[in-house]
Amino acid sequence: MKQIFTLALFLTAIILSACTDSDSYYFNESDSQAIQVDAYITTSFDESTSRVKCDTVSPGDSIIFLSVVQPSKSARSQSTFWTLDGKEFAHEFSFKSSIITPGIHHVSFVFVDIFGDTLSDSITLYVASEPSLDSRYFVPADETQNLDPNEQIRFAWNGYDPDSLWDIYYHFELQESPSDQEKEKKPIVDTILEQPFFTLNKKLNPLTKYLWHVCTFNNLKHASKATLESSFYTQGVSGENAIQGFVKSTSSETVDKVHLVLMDSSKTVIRELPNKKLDSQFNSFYIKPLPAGQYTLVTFIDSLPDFKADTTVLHLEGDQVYSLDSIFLEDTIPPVISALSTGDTLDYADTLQFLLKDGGGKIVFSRTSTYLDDTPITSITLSSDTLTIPLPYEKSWSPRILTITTVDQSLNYTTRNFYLKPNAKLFEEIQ
Amino acid sequence: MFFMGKRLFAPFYASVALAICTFLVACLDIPSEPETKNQIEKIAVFVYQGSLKDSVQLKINSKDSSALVAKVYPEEHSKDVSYLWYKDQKLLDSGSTYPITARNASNSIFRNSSIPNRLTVSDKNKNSISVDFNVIVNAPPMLFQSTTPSQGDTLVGNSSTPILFRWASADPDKGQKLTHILEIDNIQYSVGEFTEVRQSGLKQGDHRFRVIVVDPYGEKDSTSWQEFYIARTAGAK
Repeated sequence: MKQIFTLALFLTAIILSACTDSDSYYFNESDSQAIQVDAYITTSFDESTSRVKCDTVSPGDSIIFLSVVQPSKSARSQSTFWTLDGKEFAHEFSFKSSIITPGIHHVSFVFVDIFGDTLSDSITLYVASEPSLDSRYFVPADETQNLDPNEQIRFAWNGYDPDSLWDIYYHFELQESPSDQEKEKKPIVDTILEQPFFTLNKKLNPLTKYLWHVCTFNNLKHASKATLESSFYTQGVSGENAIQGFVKSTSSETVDKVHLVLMDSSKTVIRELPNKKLDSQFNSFYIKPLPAGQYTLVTFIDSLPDFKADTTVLHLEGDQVYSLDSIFLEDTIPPVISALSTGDTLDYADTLQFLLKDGGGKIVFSRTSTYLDDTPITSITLSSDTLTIPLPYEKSWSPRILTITTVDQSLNYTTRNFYLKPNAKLFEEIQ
Repeated sequence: MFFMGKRLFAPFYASVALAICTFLVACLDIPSEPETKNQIEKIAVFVYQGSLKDSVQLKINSKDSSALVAKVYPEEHSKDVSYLWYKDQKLLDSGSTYPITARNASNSIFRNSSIPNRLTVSDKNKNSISVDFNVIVNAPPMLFQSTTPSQGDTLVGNSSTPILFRWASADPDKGQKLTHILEIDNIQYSVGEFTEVRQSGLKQGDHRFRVIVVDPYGEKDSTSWQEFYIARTAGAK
């Protein structure tokens, strides 16, 4: 009986085993689908925008957190979410957000697949405020005079990290102000400092303007919004002085050369510089060395007689650079428009020519316009100072009015009307 | 049949018996439960100096006497426990308060040996809890009242003239970098470690200035306001 029961049990096991397709329970690699997830940060959903896994941003900057699931986001999953420093903070695949807390943040995209396996990818985000630099209050103050070129010069300013998290550094540069002939000077000092102060031990030139510049950045290369730009003057030796003149004019064109006449208190010309070139950066010139005393400086432009000469009286005390920023050359004389023939009544012709003259600079085409009665003529040409106006072949027995307007570099303008008499000969030629 | 079954189950019974024996033997190694649980949950060290109480930085001014005070939480057990103050492994004193004299704090030799860095609190049942700490002993920086310009000086210049400001500062704690703030007419200029600078921008008339010195622990000293007058001179603007 027991043997029969055992046999029946054995046969049942064989039948049950045969009923199952046990092969289908084996893992078949070809049936599987590998899933890969990537997380990125970017600034735009546009595919051409760069995607990175590590970046530095300012607190509150808008950032796009982007996930890529391969082969497709439609791969079956139990859940997907993002974590910020280990805490869940979003469940979208991709979204726009910002982080306001400064520091190093770890953001992860987590994908839990249908089998409960977890796939994830991480992003590192440095959230840092720009370092702060006080560009208003520093030592020595801007335009300080009479600093001894043979003594130490101490520079100090105020910079700090608003987050109190990052190291901050200062890029300090010192250079001589470019002279008349130079566009740019090589820096005397170009250094990175960890402290917001610097002592210059190098001897400088007397009676010279120097420029110094500071910018701040942190160890994430975030630079301060403000930069410090300042200047100072060194004093002269044994009572010498200098004048640094800054030239301004009414002209929209840069004045690059002036005529300088320097007279002493008895009005005797002691220095005449007919073609003094101005430096391109500050439009300035130097006259040095000069003994202490009272001077009269006359500034004008030889080639531009419309500019009225500037006369300045100044007093030099000794060992100083006089910063003269009141030189102003003014042109109030408008340009002159004249026909090649005399008078303002002309015979109507197919082309007329006029002279446009101005003593304050070149007349430019774009500031010149002509009208025949009220109709603008656009096909005019201006060559040197000659304006050529082609007139339409219109048969008319009434006089016409040609109006020419031109504006010089100092925005003085002239409008002149010419009367065009009917020209029977011209109309006969046309017929 | 029954006999055969008994023979089959014999190893099983033997295994069960062995497991029970092993369990009983293992139980012998388990330490006995303390008679009572530790009722102290937390301890903390405070610095008391004058009216100041500090449990964060544990900073004391070496010029004045101070005390370290142990706090036990819950506070109701504070009288039922013993306090032991250690410097590294060396027992220095007992009691909930550890006084530090100005002499001990200001002398570097005494300071190293007499200021504890570990507190152990034990209850009657020998339950104990310890905390390590580090007391910062810092003397505030000092500014000498003698400055350039000094009170009532008249200087000749104009707004471009660099005026020399000079002062002197000191700190009893050697090696500390002091930073200075030059305050002229209520505008503060951070001047770092400098003790003299030349500053311009001061027009003709009355002015005043003072200097503030700050050490790395934020302790400060300042000069009194020094008033001076600038008389105008012609020349460079």
